Amino acid sequence: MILADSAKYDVSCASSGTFRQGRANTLGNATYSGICHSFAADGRCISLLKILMTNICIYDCRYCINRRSNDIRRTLFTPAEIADLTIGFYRRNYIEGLFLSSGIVKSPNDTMELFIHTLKLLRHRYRFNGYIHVKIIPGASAELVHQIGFLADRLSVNIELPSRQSLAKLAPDKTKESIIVPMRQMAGEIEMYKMEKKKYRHSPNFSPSGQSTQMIIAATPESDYDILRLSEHLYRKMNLKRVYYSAYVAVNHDALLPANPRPQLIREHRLYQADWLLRFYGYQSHEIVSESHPQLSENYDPKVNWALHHLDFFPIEIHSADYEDLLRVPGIGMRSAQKIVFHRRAANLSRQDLRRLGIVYKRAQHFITINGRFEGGQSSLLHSLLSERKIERARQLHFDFNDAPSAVQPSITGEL
Amino acid sequence: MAIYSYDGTFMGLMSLIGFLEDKQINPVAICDKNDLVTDLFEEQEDIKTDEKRARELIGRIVDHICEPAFDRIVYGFLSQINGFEMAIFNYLHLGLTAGENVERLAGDRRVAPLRRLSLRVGREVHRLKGFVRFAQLADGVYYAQIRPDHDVLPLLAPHFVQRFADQHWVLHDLNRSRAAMYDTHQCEIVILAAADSLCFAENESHFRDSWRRYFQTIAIAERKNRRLQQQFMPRRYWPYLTEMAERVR
Repeated sequence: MILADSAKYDVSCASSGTFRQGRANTLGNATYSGICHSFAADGRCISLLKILMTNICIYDCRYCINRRSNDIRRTLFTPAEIADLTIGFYRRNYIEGLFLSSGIVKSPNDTMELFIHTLKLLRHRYRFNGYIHVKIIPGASAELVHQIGFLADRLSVNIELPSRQSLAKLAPDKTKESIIVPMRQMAGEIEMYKMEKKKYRHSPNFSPSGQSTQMIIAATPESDYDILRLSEHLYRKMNLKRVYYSAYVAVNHDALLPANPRPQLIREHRLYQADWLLRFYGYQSHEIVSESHPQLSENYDPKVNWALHHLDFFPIEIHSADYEDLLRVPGIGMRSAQKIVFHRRAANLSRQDLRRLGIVYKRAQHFITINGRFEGGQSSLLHSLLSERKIERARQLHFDFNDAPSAVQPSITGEL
Repeated sequence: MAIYSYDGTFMGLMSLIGFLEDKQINPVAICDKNDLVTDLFEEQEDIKTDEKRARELIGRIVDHICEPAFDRIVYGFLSQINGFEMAIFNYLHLGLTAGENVERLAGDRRVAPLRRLSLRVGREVHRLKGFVRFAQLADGVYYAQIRPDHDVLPLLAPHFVQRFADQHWVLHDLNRSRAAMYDTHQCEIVILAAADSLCFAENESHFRDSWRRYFQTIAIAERKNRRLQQQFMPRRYWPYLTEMAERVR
């Protein structure tokens, strides 16, 4: 289990995005929504068997437990062992599929060939139809990336660090090009085979669940502004499905790395919130952070932060506002906005109806009108936006709501 | 005005509601005739199952309301929570005149109760798709035990038929002493009492132990969060989860 121990720092566990019916005499299917099979002691979902082929590695990335210069026990799985374990777990409904990654043996291409061998065993010998996610090794040849795309459901190549400088400093064996080139190739092929599929029903699937990536947060000096701009670029230009953020956990002592005792979970959480705004809520990165305010607020989530800076945008009428505008109301999420649009066609919605549909009314009331009536009060605005616990903590830490935007200041004293 | 009873089956309930709709009757209560208690003050009437009338009603639901409405009714029925019959009746009574708009009236008092029931069942089904744990028996069959709150076997079985198309499996609902059995060709639900002891396949303990070790290793110690774990994976599921069973005892 040494090899699972090292794989745990890979964040992704998504098993969604592919829908494949089970067939007679084959094993497994993939559901569109994904299924979580268990939850580890850290509260993260376990959906896939996350495992490294080997922890042998020729690279010496500073932040990685398996770097060449670390003196640890090295082991190696054979493709048959991995296939065996995957099938055994899958048949018992422990897992939804396999997440395969690895240290780099001999060369990127040799490692990729081990992956392909494993996947062929699973797909052809065991006729395994379940979900498979494979990490692409930076610097792998175009031909191998092409081959593996037909065997896996999702591919990903890790960006690791949000800038070229940091990468050169902490992962001297990887270059930005070795990461971007396969990423761009995959983006192209995924797009192409998707088009093909529309024309010819039997054309093959190439990584049908798209590609994702991951980067380490707070190991290097990049600001949230840099990170979110990069993510936005990856979503819009490279068509990535997900960017995962992983708060840096110190596993090595190294002069080049920060010696922070605790992972910065709040920052990671805020980045994920901002990430959702980019992907599902129609925000642009410059609306969330800017060069003059490069960090996300710790106290407010980025959506509330935007709303507080744009009080003139509100209140909006829930019976007539566009879906896109509803999405901007704190307390109304994607699902709630869809439900409002769906339900308001048949009935006039009351405050109780909104609550029943799952809107956080306590928060939303300050930003909406219902049939022209505004029920929010400004005096309780700040309190309703911060949970009790957070207010308490802010007091303890002697925050005096400094990062509350100036527009709200009058509201604290009850004006406006 | 009276209490109406049916034989406890889905088709029985559909026949009863079909009858009530035809006769334009508003019942005081609907109940399973097996749990009927004699009541001195209310009239009681038992309606026999009538396949034809039930099918007719189902056809009307699908054509005049919508297919999701039919699913909602089935889910509500499987919840088997007190009062589900009246929730279905009220929903249908409105739906047969309002049409597919009934799904847009989530807040309505005739719709909300059934919605609540069906959502509960849907959530349990989704959770169990992940939480069911099979173990291989000596004869090669994969066997799993569950204790669900609702009667979810009919909804879970199709998922596992799809997934484990090439293996023999049994999914045993201990609360209701029923099991879904699949033999790579067809799946049926049968009555099955709990076995005293099970004889596991030779390599079963190998996979079970590997999984437990994997489960412990995969958690990042610096981020430990038991509360979050329990929020996603409620305690009542633990006894049948290979990786958590030891923590229960």
